[in-house]
Amino acid sequence: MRGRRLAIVVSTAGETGDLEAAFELAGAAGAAGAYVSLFFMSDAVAGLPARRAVIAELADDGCELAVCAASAAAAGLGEDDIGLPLGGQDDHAAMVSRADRVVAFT
Amino acid sequence: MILVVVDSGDADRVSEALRAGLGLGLRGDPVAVVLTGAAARFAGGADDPRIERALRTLAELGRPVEVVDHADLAGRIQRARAVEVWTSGGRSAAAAAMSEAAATPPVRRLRVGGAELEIWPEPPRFRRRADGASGAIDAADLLAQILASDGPIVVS
Repeated sequence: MRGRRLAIVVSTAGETGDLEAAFELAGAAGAAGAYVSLFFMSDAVAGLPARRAVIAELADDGCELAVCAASAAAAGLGEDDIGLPLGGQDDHAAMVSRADRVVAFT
Repeated sequence: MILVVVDSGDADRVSEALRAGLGLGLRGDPVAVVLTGAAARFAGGADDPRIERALRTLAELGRPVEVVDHADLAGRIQRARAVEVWTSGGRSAAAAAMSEAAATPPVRRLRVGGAELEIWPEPPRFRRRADGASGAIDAADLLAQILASDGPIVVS
């Protein structure tokens, strides 16, 4: 599994549990030596400020994380609220394009 | 091929799914967007300017959105490299197309290879149903299945 690329996309609201499932999978992938990238957009973005600690852990472990700026703006959130730089659909496209496997919680 | 399956009757979710379908093509990968289930009624835009604009743009890019039924959907999913199924957060028609298994919303289904797993909102999140009961699956084991699979991963 080492060196394989996993992309995870989350677009659903925090109440669904999809963010936690995505974080659990990303943590396991990082521990296994896989390259992990996560892209958040739409309803998922509003759930990110409450999960800053796990986001910071994943970033420290080398996980690539990006947040859709348009979704963040719609939710009234900025980079300081989320703890991540804002990106866009190009990040989404790049992560999925590079990935060996994609898991989409959409 | 990256396949975006829109399977929601909610205009906001459909609009976001179409935005994702447009965005995923930015790196030159082939992308197909299909409407199924409750989303089929949005094929003409349904008087939502966001949806109408996205449908028009996708068509102008040579990637017109198609309406597919469950029978077509399973084949398209199998031929895709990656799949995003956009739902309203609950179980989708795509899940029904991929499985005969009974489901209780809002439990999600994750299809990897020939196996179908459940994703629950609370721990243990990843479970395999056998003999009428759900057994927990470690995230590391699930990851191994995902990375070893030779087909797309479908969460629906």
